[in-house]
Amino acid sequence: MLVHETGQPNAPIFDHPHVRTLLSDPERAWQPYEPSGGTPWTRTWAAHALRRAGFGGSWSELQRGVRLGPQRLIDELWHGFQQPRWPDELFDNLERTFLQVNSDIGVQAVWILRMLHGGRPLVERMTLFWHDHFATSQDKVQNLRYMVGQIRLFRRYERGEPVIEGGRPHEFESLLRAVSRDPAMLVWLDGNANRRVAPNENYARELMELFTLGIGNYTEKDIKEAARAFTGWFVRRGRFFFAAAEHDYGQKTILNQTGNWDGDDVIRIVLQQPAASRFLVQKLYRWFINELDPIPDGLLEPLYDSFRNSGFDTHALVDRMVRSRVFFSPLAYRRKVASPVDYVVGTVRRLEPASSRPRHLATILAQLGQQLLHPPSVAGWDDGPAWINAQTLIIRARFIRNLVRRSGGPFEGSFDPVALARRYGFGDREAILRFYVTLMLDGRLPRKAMAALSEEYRRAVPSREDGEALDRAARGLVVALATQPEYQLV
Amino acid sequence: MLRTRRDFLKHSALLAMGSTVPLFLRNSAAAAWRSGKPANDRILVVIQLTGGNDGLNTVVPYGDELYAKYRVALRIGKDQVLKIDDYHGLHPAMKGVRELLEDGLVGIVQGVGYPNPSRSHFRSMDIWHTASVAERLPETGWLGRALEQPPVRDYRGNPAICFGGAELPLALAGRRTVPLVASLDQFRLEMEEELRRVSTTVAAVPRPDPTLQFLQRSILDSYQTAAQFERITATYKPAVAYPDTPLGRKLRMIAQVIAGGFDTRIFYTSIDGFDTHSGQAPRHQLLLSRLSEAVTAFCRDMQQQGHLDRILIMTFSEFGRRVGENASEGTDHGTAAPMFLFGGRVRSGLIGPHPPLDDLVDGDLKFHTDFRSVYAAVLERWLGIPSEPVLMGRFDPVEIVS
Repeated sequence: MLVHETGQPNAPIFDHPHVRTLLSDPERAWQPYEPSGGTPWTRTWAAHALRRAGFGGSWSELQRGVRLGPQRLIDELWHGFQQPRWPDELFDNLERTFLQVNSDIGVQAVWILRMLHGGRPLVERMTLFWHDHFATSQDKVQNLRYMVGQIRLFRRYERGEPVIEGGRPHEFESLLRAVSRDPAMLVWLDGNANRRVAPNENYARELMELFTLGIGNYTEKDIKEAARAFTGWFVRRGRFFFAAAEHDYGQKTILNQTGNWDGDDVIRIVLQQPAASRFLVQKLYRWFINELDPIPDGLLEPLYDSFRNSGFDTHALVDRMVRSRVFFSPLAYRRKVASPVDYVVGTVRRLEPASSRPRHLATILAQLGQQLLHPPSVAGWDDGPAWINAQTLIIRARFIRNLVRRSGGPFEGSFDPVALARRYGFGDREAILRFYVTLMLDGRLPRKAMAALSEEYRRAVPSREDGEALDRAARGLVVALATQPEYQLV
Repeated sequence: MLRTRRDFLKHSALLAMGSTVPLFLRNSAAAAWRSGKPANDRILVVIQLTGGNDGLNTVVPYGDELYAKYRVALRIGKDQVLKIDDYHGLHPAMKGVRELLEDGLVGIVQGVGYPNPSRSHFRSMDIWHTASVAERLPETGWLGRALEQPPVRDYRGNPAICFGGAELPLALAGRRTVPLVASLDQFRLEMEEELRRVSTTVAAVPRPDPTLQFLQRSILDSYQTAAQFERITATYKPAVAYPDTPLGRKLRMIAQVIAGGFDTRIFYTSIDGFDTHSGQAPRHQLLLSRLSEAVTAFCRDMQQQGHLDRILIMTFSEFGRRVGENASEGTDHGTAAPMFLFGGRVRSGLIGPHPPLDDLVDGDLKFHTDFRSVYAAVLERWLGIPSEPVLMGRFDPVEIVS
């Protein structure tokens, strides 16, 4: 589905000198970013990396990111970063407990806890990416164990663990083979209805349209033939089961290759198509770099080549993207709309309320249109400006209003903005203003908007000694910042 | 190259950024809200049947022996259909619709489709939403473009509202921002006036970048919409009981907004689950009864409150299903299907013949009425909006208004 139009558009971003330099040499653009006088490493870039390759950062994490520099920060986001960091077993045990009582929202809440406190945020980001890519919904699957099993499959894959016998770590083909046998997927796309005498095209179609090639890169005939190759791939008693009697052993011609193909052959043939190397690269570019501007001609060519040459190693591809000059450039900075996960989890990570209320957060995500385990269709969530409408903006505003409540509400008054700023050494009225504008907006607000904000804030705290007024104004400040246009971008 | 649904939404939202005067600047006071009261106060309610409704088992050609040949497990027999005439009958779940039909409030346009049909849910839905069959589809929806035409163009407030769904349908994408409402309760901001004022003041400072301008306008519009909805909640008393189903609740909200005196002209909502590849019979029964009960309650409510003569309800689905059933007691993606119209002034009865069952293309029904001819009628004959600029071409309107 994601065959993106490319071209050289007129958007202002492409006039930026830094961006023009990048576009003039795509090979160099994807080399690792090393700070220099012209492109220094700043708190802004550390915050950017934390938002995109993690789930946003607290003030102390931001400081750590600044100290580490870009490459070591990315290392840690892959392998161990967030504070406080909870052990994986804790999440696994919690998840098991909620599975035992069949609590859908409980399982969603545990996933949110992983995003908040898990040690490998970039692994978790990619787990969410695959959930969006192979979008499977509990609405139809109606089996929480299968759903959790599928999410765990994505997480294992991202950790470099084997997902299928004989596969290599991080190899897209292995993931596709595992997903094609995954019980949740088999229920979701009617595996058990795909029988020799009556092939069901559902999985074969989405495999090509949404998972690997994109529409226009195959024919209806290819889908019909591929469906035959997957016949007899059933789920039985919670496991993949090959029902030989239901499998069509006849000859099939798929994408111009003829043979007695089975599902694994279809995956192999599909990945031989030129579109296969472009499709996922483009989608990951939208996910990690920029979803608001057209993809410039030629920019992704080096990635198409390296992705194919690596045997479709998705980890190497993502790693290259998030370390690149492109990632740390205006082409990426705030060029994505904050998804509900970005907004809600990111805000809680930044503001560190004493109780993070993961179940409440799961409900808010659902209201904002991103209920985990329940993507709206097999095409996943529609990102970008589609997240933004009158209702979701009101829910975003109400969420932040509740978070800053001095007492009561879902967070039970567990966020104290003055105390948080003071913990990091920002004590008085002006310092607190600076702290929150930096923490939440990288200190970047248009000059006149900043002036209007400062004026309102100072008016609310006329005297520097008034603790009551300062507390109230700081709470208002956080609400005002989180409801600005800039805060809806990541 | 084809563009994606994600890209449509992105780019159409970006298009919206280029608009002229932001709504918040035009809206000096609540008094301005009703000042653009239109001469034509007709309302369109679109109900999307998501997944591809099986038209053949909705308006059943029970009088055709070929129907019984193609449908064995899923056949709806002569004694089960709600007969319209001695050839056509409605699915037995649609009792309410049959009663509306007897009252002259239902038009059924048969055999609606478009050339070279796509069997992809996404592509075909995008075709219906954009009203284009071009390889490269436009970035705006037909209703989004309709909102840019006079007289709707000049309305203040919300000329269109979408109820339910996770995101705004492509059909409504255009320069105007259209609110998406899950429930009227969700529109309560629960924010003190002072907090609201400070946030709005800072957000209203001009932004340099088109993306930020789009976000800014959406934010400021959302505060305004919240204030409007706060006025109409809690007091509404429907004239009849609505079914407690998702569609029932959504149509009840639409009734509430209409009765609340909003100038909204276009309402959009949907009911999902029509992709019945297996075990179709019980699911289709449930879906059609939910559709029928909700629409019937809405029509009766609006009728008793005196609004039905200015309301037209239109249903559509991205495609019908194949004529022959599959081996899983379901049906796969097909082509032409009927569209339902409801309202006090609709041309009641069947409009156009059932597509012949003895003249199929690759096992699918042949369409005889382009869906854009129905759109053209809705735009010109009902809403009083010129159809050519919206549909990007001339389509002869089907006679749908009596």
